[in-house]
Amino acid sequence: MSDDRRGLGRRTFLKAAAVASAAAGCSPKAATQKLIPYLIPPDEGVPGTPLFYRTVCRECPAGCGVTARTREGRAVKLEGNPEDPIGRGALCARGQASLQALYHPDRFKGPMRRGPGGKLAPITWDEAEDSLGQALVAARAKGPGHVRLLSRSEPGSAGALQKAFLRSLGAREEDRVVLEPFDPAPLRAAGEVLFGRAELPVLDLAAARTVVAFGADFLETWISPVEYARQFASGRGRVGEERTRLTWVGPRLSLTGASADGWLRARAGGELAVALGLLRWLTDPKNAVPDLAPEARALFARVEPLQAADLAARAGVTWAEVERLARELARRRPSALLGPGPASQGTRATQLAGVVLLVNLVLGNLGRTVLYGLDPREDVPSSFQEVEGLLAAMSAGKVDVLLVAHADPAGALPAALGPEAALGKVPLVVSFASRPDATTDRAHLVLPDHHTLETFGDAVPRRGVVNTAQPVMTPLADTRSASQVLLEVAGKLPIEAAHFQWSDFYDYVQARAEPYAAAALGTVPDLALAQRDAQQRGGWWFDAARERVTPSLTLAAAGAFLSLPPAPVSGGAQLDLAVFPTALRGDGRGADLPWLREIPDALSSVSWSPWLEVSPATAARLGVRSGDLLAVSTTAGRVELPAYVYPGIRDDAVGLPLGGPEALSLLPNAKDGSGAFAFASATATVARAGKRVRLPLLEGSPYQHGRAITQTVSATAPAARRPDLSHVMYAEPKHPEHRWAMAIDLDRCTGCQACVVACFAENNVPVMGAEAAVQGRYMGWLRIERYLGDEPGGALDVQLLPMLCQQCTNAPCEPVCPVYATYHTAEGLNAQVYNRCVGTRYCSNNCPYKVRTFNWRDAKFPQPLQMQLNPDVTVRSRGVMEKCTFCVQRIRYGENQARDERRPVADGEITPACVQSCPAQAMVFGDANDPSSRVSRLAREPRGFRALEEVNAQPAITYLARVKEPEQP
Amino acid sequence: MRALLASLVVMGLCRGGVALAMFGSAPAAPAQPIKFSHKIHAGEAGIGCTSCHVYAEHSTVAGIPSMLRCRGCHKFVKEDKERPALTQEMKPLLKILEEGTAIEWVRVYRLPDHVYFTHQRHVLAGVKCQDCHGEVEKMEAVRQVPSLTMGWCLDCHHKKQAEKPGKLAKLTDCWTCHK
Amino acid sequence: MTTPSFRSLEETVRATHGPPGPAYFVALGIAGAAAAFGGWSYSLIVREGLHWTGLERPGMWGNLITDFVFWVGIAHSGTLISAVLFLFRARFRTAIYRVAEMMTVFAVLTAGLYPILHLGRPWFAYWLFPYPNQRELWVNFRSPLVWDVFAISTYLTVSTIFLFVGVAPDAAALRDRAQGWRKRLYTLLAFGWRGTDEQWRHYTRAYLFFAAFATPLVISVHSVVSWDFAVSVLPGWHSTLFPPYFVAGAILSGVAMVITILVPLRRAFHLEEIITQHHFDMLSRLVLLTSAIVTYSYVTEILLAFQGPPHDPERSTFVYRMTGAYAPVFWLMVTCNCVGPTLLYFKAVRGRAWALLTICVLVNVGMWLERFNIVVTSLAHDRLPFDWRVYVPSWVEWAMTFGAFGWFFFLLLIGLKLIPPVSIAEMKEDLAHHADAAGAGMDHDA
Repeated sequence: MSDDRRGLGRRTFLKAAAVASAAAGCSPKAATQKLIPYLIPPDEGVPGTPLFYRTVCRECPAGCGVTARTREGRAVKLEGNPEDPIGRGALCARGQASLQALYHPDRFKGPMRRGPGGKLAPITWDEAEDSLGQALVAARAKGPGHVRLLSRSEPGSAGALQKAFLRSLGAREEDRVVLEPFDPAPLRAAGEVLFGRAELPVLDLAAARTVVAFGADFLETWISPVEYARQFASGRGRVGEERTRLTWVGPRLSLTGASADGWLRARAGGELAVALGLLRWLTDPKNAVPDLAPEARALFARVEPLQAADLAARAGVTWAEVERLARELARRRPSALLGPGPASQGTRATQLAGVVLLVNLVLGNLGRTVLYGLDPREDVPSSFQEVEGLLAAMSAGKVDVLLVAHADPAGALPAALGPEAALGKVPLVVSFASRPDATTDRAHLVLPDHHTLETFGDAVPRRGVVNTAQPVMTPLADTRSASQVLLEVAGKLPIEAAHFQWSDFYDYVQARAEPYAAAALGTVPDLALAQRDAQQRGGWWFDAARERVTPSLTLAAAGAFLSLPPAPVSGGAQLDLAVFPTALRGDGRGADLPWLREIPDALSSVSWSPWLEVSPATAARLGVRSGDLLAVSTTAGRVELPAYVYPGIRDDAVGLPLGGPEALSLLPNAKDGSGAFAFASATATVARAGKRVRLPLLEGSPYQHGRAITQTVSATAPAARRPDLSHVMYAEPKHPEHRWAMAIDLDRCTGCQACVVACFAENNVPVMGAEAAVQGRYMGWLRIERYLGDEPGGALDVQLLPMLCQQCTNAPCEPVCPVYATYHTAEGLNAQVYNRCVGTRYCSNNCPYKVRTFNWRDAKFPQPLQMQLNPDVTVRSRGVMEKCTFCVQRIRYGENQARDERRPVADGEITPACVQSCPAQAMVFGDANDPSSRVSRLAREPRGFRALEEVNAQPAITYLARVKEPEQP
Repeated sequence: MRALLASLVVMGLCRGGVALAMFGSAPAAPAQPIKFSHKIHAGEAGIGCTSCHVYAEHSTVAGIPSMLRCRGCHKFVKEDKERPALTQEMKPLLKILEEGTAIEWVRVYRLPDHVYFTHQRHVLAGVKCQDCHGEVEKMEAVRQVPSLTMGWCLDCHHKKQAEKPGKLAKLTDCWTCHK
Repeated sequence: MTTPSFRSLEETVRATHGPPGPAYFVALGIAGAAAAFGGWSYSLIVREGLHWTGLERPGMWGNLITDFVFWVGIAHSGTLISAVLFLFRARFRTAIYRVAEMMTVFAVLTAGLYPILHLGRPWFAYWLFPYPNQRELWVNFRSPLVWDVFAISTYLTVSTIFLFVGVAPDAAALRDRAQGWRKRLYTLLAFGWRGTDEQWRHYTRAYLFFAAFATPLVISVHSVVSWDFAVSVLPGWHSTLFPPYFVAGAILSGVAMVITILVPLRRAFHLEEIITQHHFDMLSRLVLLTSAIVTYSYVTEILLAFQGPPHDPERSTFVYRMTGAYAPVFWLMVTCNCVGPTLLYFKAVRGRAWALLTICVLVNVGMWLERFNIVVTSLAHDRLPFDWRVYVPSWVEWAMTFGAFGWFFFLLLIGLKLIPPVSIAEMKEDLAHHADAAGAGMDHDA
């Protein structure tokens, strides 16, 4: 990967010494160890037992609640907060990986100032705050606009304090710019135009029977993926009419699209035409769609002139397809149409958003599945226009002090906007980033902020939902909460207005919590107690927002959206550049975290590298196969990227993941009417660069080769095919007490990879780096196997299969181990005793599922990443085979708890990390000996089948077949 | 071939902590930063084990008493009129308490990282501290009494298992003690 | 053919122990260097782990296991020739069995290394032997790898004893003329042999007994090795055909190796009088026979696989072998093991040393590839297509593979200088028979 900043983390990461070997399972006995007692023992928590804290995730604006598990005063794992209405106990891949940001080897150890030599040199906090204070006073003297603040969206106390701080300096409202690259601004804009409400609608997908996503990757990054995945999944996993259907509209089949029942292969920018087509068909009186919204007639008058043929042509699909989708929408109510997302956010994004909202309105979805009035509007991100304005001011030398809080203009903005040059023009750039990024490389003052897990705070992702943050451990380095720094600097300023009554950010947060307490509890006898209580639960949740406003449409305004989009320009050598976000990289702010780089993308199975998706036809035309370098050039720039041949993309487009510097350097500076950045606007010329790279791919063959590894069922054939295994030759193992088992619903699994990250975190699975990935030495115990179809060149049929140890009853791995390192436990698990393993690797050869990983070399956990290691799981040394254990340490913990309380283990009480983390609740764990347990009931479902059942290994994992209903004409 | 095998074995012994532990016999008591006598505390004064090692009953670790706990008593116990020697011995501790620093004890009992051991289960099962740690109340300086080899663990587990065979089947399951 | 006299025979054989010429040292040097480099490459693995190999998931076995199977195979014909042919009273064995036996012992010494070298933690290899320990742990007798441990160690013991027993009388003969360390050595190897009638009587009995004892091993050992694969559930490994198939292959490779060694040996040590065209002729027939059996096995295996339905993994694996990434390996294997030996039908070919040598060297290459083909292709093409991967051996693995040849020939070259490459005693016996036959004839004439 070309970019230096990204490299930085990795380099330190890979060259660091193998500190793990001290902890390694079979390492030499350590020399004399010291035992240093507490001076004063902690009043809460017992050494050797976990202690849980509730806090909030700040990796994206969704603001899910978090439960942090700590051991001996250090956070070892992040899970969702079951009480939080957004995440409901689940946490996405990026959320869980933020733990590695806490322990990142490159984190700043303290405040630094750029010296005359151009190098950052450590200083004390007092110096830092003083020099900032003086600069602020000087800049303020020049009048408003000379002090600017660029921040990520901070819906909560942090944001409020930033505003108050600027206000006290006499700054204007617009001097604070909020940067959220993926903010769906067009949706706000359209809402304002149509209903006079500049809000984000909140979705209730659980109520929708049909979902149509216009490039909105609501299962990966869009607005609130964990919540939407859960809602969507609640309507899946059943056969027949009441199962939620999903249709994906766009030039590239995204991971969200992989869960879809239909894919409308609209060309890039064609989503708008599709939406218009739907509106036209649905409102057309002669189609006699029942109970439409009263506005329908009036709207039809506006869309009638649009010719079906023109729309189809602009959409790049046949009219029949549009009609089919329209019929489905007419029949299945309520539904939800979503969009635009980054992948479909082009120069006409607001129009697309408007039409999508209108279709929702016509179908009566507003107020049922698409809810207004829930957007807290706490800290609405600025449009790219405003960001550009800031950059312009900077370049013009009008900005003296730029405060950058958790935003990385140099690294997160398209190079076409020239953020680096602009930064160069600012005399004092102050960054609160906690680890190096492209902006800190140019910052004059670095005031490293605490990690969210080290500080107090709160986030208001939605009206009636206030998730509180609290420190779960003492800060690792001499960092300081950015908000705290603002308070302290303000206190030192010779400005009366800036002297807040709070000296500590904690007090500020508490003070702001009063209204929440009132809203949540009505009367608050003892605020302090209530707040302590809220902190334990993880937030304030009250139903104030439940009054659902049904916005009224202003017809005149709607007209603006109902014009025919211009005919597509691209064609010939020009290919549409279809950029898309991924569940692991997101908007790129955590893309340098080892786990997120090591874990392969669920669709392409590429790790550690960007890639360019080309359709088989395009690949044939260019004469390339996966791994060949392609030169991509747009009006903005030229980049060389390895090709990945992917049948899920149109022949007139190439796909490029966002979240890395490549996309940013290729995207031209284009905006949509609302001032939002137009990701989906570029066309590119692609040619082979002649070179070839070894692309780190997990997949061998993406096709099932007629082996029916995954199955699908339908209303007509609701049962999965099972082989006849009635002939038993040998007595099978007995499981007197428990028989731990799992059920995985393939109709719910979205491939979001939350389970994979959870497994890495829980089981100390090592990150081996790009070279190992190229050699097929990925260590993940759990991988998402992705099949694209039956035979090469056949029909595209994306199937996801989470593959982990099947804990077979007749496990082929067990008899072949010469030293009993692997054996069958009384609870049905295929145990692996690491320090007994000599490494013959026969067990892996004999495993039909290939779910055992071998330690080809010693794993590295560079300081202080080794602090994240789970003490309940040993670190495996080289030469040892390792594997999924169904999180035996968690089973052990659960059984211990039950024993202490003298009761049997309750169903659902024990959950392996993967099961716990699943947003879609596709994985269920339990005791198969108990016929009434959830897992047993699921295993009996007709959809149930087992992987490679014919081998008769008798896996403990039952897969529930994906449902595939034939599309109705 | 035999020769090479032998050399590999030797290499193994040097490398593997496990292999070392195999021959682990009870070593002598290591020198501690200050002279602390369990004989006086647990023996003469008759202080129960868990009144200092407070976590033994509800955690994997028994816990090293905090300095606060030392102070708790030695706020008052500053000398021994009958035995001036003891008064001498106490001096370094009192100094440390004054400074408010911590004593850096040298570890006596260590299990390899791949072993899952919990004091809680053993103590609650009625295993006496002395069964594993020896008669600490008679020791001036604590030393490792058992070999802490797998065989030593199994000895006891087999005995207990024999008492109620069906119920305690798990006692000899690898994953009961290995992680 | 001129039959050599007792004296000329003993002279020729002792001549082989004369001071070695430069050619010998060159050969020894090359072999030693190869072995040493292999050893050093392996030290990388010991120091830093198996990431030095090309192995990955799913292909967790590769060159090293291939080497193991290959050398066990080589070891076979030794016992076959010395024991089985002895029991069948096949006279032609006399002149060549000693070399075959030395080859056997050294091949086992080579083969036995590789299962240990390929371990993730070789320093714990001793855990594979059942011995009482405080951990109260036992080996898993269900595991074929444990069967291997027994099979190989048994075979090594028996073949070594068999070699020494055969050497005893010759050692005695040499002892009486040698001096210095050689005398001490032969005194040791002679086991106090004085050649009394009584000793001869016991000796022949004992030799017969050992022959009878060793014979079943020829079948059993390689059958056990084949079970390493046959008992697994992997398509391409899981087959009842394997034991006979492996044994045949083993003998083919073994006999080919004997010829490969004898041809240059005969030239170098001027043994033309003793090792005659007749011997090569008989050995060639053996090669021809076993090659036919091996060919038959290949065909059967493939035909069986094609009984399955079109998408059956078993079938797919065989299609992959013939058409996939490893197709060249497969077809080269077929050429070397099936096509090449058919030339031996022609007496002319059998009669030409260089032709014979070429064919046999190619057979050895082919047999190595056969094992590679079995081990690697099956793993690379398992049941889950998503995990398919092509394994390519790393230079370290190649260094160790060639190191094995170095190590083997190093031992052999040393052995040839210490142990008579032809059994003097038995040759004399043969000559005696000849003489009697001749004498009787004359009487008759008179």
